[in-house]
Amino acid sequence: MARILVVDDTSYTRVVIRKIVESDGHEVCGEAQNGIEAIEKYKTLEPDVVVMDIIMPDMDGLEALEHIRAYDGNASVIMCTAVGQEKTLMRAIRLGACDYVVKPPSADRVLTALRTVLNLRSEKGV
Amino acid sequence: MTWNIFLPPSTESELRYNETYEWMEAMTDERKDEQLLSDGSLRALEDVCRMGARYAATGMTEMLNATVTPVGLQCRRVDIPQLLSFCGSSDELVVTIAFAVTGEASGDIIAVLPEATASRLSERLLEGMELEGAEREKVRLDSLAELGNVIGSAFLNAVSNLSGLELLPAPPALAEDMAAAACDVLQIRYGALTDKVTVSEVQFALEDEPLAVQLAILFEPESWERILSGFRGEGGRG
Repeated sequence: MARILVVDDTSYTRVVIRKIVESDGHEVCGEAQNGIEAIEKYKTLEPDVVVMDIIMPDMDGLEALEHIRAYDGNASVIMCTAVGQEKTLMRAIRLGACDYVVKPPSADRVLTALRTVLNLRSEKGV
Repeated sequence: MTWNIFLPPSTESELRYNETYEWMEAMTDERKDEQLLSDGSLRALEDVCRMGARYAATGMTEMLNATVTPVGLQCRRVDIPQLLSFCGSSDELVVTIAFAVTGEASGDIIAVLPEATASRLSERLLEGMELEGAEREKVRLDSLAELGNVIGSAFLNAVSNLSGLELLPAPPALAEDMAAAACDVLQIRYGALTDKVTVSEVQFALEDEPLAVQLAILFEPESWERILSGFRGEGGRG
């Protein structure tokens, strides 16, 4: 079981992702509505994985990803966004995102990404 | 590592794209002497939007757990005052989901749903969620905003795939208001820039029943120029 921080500016998507990850036995340890909250909650909650939107008010997910990876080089972040564009995807990769799920987030895609990331963490001994 | 991104265009779509490219190349010089967007470029835009409509229908199908298909698409140039007719009759209660387009082009996307359609969709979106009172209302409104986000982003992804430009949606703004109010903002914003705007309208069907979702995609004149250059491979990915 992994502890997940869910970051999205819409409550609907947070509910959807919570249902998906809990159906696979994981725990949602916290939720955030923008990048600033995400950074704060990452530091206090120390989740195993972050599932984070890109387009959010105040601070977007890519900027938050950069901050989180600077704080913890082992942070595992899955981007979950409606933006399925190569340039955005490549920027997320360069900033250290582990995986990328295009919205709407289906259970299959989210759980596949989650298992892949958790396997990688296990292999690295994180 | 697995990366989940939009499916690449099918062979059929690629063929259509190639035809579009060739056609766009052929009309380049002619277009320079004409208005910014000719009938021909509207046809090219319709091809792109057709792909966007398929992406959007796939996204809606997954969100609603019911088959959504695009059933109609039209791109046209309209005078600024005509924007109101796009939003519906002026005293009709509608839900609008609007967001600015940022990145390498500037524009706006607005989805307009009659109140009854919005209720029908949100009921489906909230199926299986145990929510009550204020929380349910908050999630209901957010579900419609997210639906608009998925639809609009699908179109931006399609334009981006062909133009090579990065087109990012701002966080969506949802309003329940009269149609006239919904279109006022767009009229003011684009009226200061141009006399006419290009509107792409799409209609969908939900399990064979018409789904009254109107979608308008508007770009600023200079952004259109950049997008069309991208279609021709001039500075974009091509």
